[in-house]
Amino acid sequence: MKISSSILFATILAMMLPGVSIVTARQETQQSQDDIHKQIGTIIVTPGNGPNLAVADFIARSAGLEAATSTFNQVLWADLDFAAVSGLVGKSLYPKTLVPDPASLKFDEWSADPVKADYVAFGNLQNNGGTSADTYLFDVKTKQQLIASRHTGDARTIAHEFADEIVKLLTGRDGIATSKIAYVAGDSIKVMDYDGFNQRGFASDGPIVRFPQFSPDGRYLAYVSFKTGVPNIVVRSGEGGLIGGTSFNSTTTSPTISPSGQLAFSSAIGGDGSMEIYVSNLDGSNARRLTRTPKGINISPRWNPKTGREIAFISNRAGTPQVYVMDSSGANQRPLIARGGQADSPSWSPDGRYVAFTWGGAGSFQIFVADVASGQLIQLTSQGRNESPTWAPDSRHIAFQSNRSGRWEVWQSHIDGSGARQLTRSGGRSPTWAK
Amino acid sequence: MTRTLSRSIAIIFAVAILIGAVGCAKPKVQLQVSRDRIQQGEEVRVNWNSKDAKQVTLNGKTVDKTGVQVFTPDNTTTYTAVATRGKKEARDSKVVAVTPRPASPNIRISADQDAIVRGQSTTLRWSSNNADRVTISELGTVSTSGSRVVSPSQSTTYNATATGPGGTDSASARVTVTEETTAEPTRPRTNPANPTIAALFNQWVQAVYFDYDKSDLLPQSQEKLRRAAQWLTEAPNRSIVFRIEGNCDPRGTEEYNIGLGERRAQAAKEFLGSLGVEASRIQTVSYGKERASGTSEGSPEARPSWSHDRRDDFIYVSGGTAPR
Repeated sequence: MKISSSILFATILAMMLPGVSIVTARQETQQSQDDIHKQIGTIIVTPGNGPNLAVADFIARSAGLEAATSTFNQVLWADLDFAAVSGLVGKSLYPKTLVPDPASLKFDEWSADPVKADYVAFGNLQNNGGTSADTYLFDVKTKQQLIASRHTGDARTIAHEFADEIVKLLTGRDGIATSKIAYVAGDSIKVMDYDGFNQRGFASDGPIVRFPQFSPDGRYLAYVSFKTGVPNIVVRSGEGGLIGGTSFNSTTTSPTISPSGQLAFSSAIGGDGSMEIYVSNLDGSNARRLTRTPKGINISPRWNPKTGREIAFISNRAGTPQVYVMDSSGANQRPLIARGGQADSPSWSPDGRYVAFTWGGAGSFQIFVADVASGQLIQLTSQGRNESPTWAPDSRHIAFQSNRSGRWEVWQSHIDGSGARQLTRSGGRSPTWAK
Repeated sequence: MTRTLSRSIAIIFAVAILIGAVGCAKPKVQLQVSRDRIQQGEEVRVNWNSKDAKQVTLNGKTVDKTGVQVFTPDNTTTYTAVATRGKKEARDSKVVAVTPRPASPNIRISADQDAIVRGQSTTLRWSSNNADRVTISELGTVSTSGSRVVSPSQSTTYNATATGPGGTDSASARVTVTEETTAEPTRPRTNPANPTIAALFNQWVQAVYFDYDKSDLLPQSQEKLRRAAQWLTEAPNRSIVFRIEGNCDPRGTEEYNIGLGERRAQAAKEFLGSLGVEASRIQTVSYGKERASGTSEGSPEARPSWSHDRRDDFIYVSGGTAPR
């Protein structure tokens, strides 16, 4: 009786022990997820945890500018909303008095309840040969003029320029409203404004073109073309002029360009029956091999755009494809994120702090962001299948391909996954975002 | 004392006589075979026994003094057992006459299109050697080499069996039938520059299939490639240059799949290389999941055929001499 009860006690204890350790592990995971969420939460400003910005409707001062002014107002609002550098005060709360110029601005109306703005943006559009906008930003508490500028061009462009001016002033960092995204549309590469407008052809030199990647400064665009029958790299200037590329007889893919204008790619040219990472000049000359894993797959290299000293890549050397990193000399190859499943298409944030990547398993992939220093992860997407992330120049936004609408289209969101919006409507994949 | 001595001498003599008698005995050996006339591939049992032997060899190899061994000789063979003792030896031999076996039949079968839309037709083509009867499932007994237009209403595997005096061989071709008219058409695999040799190439060198995220050759793929290598290394075909195109199903990611497709092509190239098909004759290229079922924009509309998507295609490029 005594013996059996002590056995029972030991059994219960043994059963409890693993349970205890599981709970501890879960708490730790929860803890570290809180950390990266907090970190990213401070990057994306939501109403109530940053300054309040009011954006008064701009006024048309010349006849025939009603449509342009309406476009300008919509674009400016959308830019500042997606920028997420301040809380945007809803327009329904604004005073009835129009504010086309500083003389019309009554500070108390904007600082008092219910607007309670810290800043107010306003101005007017006129026609003087072309469309131009006089744009202002005031600090309503100190009654200081922060911006007084004139932008000339089409309504969308000048709204983007003013939005970036405001972001720069409020954060000290460049905005993204004038940036561009290149992507694959069917069998051609197209370029569009960062918000999906002005989609235009860039290159279609081959039966299949894939995997475009801008250089960190946006001066070059490298991609893969099947024009010789075997996939090879093509490098063009941002304007479209041919710069160089590779012309190997073996499968060569996944280009990436360093800050100093070096090319890296994956190729089967080594003859080991493997796909290995190489670096070369932009014209494909001086190819030097960095990895050596017979019968392995090393692919999707991405140069750290901040330092130029590291290359993240995908390797299946330990079984399934995982995210690795190495010095750009090839030294010090090590796993960066190796948590099982299948990973692909890593992408460094321009500030070098984060790597976004595709992670999942057969037919089910999502976008994750890893903090490089701590290795902590957050999941950005959950609707449909989401792949091939690319970072905005501000390291605060991300674009990717998603099939949530029923087919692959390019989408973008804040780096916490919020604010997702669809950019293409007739097919889009493999976005790459440039200044 | 004397008695003891004489007894000792008597014992020594007796032992010496015994040793001398045995030591002088000539060894004997006898060998028998179960059959002295067999067909190639059949077994023959050889047994032998010996007497007074220090060592026994069978066809030069040391064996037990008495024993049995089973052989499958390819040619007429003489089995000789030799028993030795010092300088004395005895031998016994038997001849086993082997008549050559009739050559094994072999058969190849392929379909011009391995995927069709319901209502469409494709042509099955087959050829055999050393066979006097060929049957194909769904078609019954057919000529030993030939072709037939088929229009299966559902995906069908055509199993062809060739029977001859030398045994049987079988091969199969699968025709996948899809409902959708939007299904990606299978590209013609023949090269119009040399249609005869290209068509033969397509019969002998056929697509191999893989498991998900794997580039290891499955046993049935190795078997297919062995047959392919046998044909590719025959004299008229040794100048054939061809391309291996690696493909993946659409469930993996696009960028990695380019690597996986290349690995699949390389795996077949390596295996063919080990069977004597020179690497210089083989080009490889990966299409990743470019040709996977389902539309290129990721729509789930088309019915997927993942196991069909994960394959190496073999494309005739140039060379070879068409048979007259």
